[in-house]
Amino acid sequence: MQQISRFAGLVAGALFLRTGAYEEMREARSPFLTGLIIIVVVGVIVSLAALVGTALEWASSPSLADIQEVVYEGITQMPWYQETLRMVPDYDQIFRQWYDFGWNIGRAFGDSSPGSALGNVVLIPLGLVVVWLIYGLLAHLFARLLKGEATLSQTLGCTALAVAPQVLKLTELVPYVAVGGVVGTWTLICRYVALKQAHGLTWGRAFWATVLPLLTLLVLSLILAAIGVLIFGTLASVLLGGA
Amino acid sequence: MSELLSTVRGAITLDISTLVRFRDAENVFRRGIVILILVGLVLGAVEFAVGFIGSFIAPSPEAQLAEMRQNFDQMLRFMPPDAAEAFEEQFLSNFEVGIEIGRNVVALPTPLPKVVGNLFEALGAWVSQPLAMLGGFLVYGIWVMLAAKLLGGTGRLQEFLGTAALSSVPYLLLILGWVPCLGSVLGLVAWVWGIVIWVAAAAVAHGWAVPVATAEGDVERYDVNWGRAILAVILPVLVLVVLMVLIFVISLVVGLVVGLVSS
Repeated sequence: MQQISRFAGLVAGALFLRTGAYEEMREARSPFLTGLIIIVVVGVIVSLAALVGTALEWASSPSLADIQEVVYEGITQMPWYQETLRMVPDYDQIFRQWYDFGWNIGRAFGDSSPGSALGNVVLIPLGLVVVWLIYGLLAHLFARLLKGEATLSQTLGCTALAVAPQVLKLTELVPYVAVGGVVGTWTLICRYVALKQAHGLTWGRAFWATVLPLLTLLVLSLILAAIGVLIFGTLASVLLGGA
Repeated sequence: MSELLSTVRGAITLDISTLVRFRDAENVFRRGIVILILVGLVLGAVEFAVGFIGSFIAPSPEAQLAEMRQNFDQMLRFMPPDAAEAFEEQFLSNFEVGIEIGRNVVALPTPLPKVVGNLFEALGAWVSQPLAMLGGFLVYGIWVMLAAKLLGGTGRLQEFLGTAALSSVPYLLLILGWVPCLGSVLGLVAWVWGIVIWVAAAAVAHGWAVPVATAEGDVERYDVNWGRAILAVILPVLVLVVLMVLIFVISLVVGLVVGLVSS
């Protein structure tokens, strides 16, 4: 119980940018383990709240399959559709195919059923841990290059506290709440304070230690995307050329 | 509560000593954020009431459609006859079917009664209001903080953001935002007033408000370097505008060059 209240205090302190919370984490016996536990617990609690909110939203909305059919029936009544059908006789088949394809893509990316929310109880904490580790490692690298003094465990422990703004997602307990970009921005601010306190950096160095990992990840993603497009393009041209 | 009201009063009257006291308070960031969230909740409560009650007293879909049709008819009167006919044929007929689709979707059955869904939607919009305000505030706050630091400011992030959160207080004027004509004027007043509090907060948090003491050692007034504070607050917007102009000019030049080469 004492441990739970200590972790809650750390998260609340980190959320409100109290430097004492970050210093306490830096001096903890095992900052990495403490950080890991905090991230997993926050992730599970937040995803459980989202599960309740999603279930309520699902129960107060019509089913997607019904909406899909109603919209389809409506579109096929539209004058432009009827006109196109007169010009292209098999347009109904082509349209239906693309219409269903669009809905399937929409479902794949924006499925907000209780089933997918249940999966998030595992996926969200896992995602938070992966992001934390990748960001933490890069941030440690840059902070050390900028004359920071913390160990890797201390960096990871302090940056783990930047998970604190995720508690804003507890509001998703209420259906139809749009949390928006506030969590991401607040997380960035917490990371800045975390790196500044963990490594004893000046504001300028802490700023660069905070943003350089993000810039690095952005550049890496662009390079990977370019490679992907290149490979996909080459494969497509080979396959189409072969056909 | 009286302390909160005193802080709010001091903020809207730009009382520098109140802002200094607030900056030096324990947990200034938390206090500022709480005030901002309270403002958001008060504003959202009005929208909640309007949204939820409005769902009961909204005109029927037929009446809404008739009103829209009337507006379009008025617009068509000002268009040349050919264009009006084409518009009616190409757009209005499809638009009306579109409205019908919307009505059919709304009429679809849901596991919970519709009234519960309406309540959830209004509640969701209410809770989302302070979160949206907070998001915008933090994004702008980071850039102003950066600009202030580059201009030699000495403030800490916590103190600056906490104090600057008081800039949300004038937005309480938007409680009357639903009043026709007056709403937009009040919006403008709140926005300008908020910007002025941003400037005062930047001055106070970044050491640009220097206390002038009396012979007895009491603070008599503050000498404020408004120039730097104003620059810090508007610099992010200026940089954004310059970037947008640059992007526009570059795309224009590239477009012209491509056009010349291809011709």
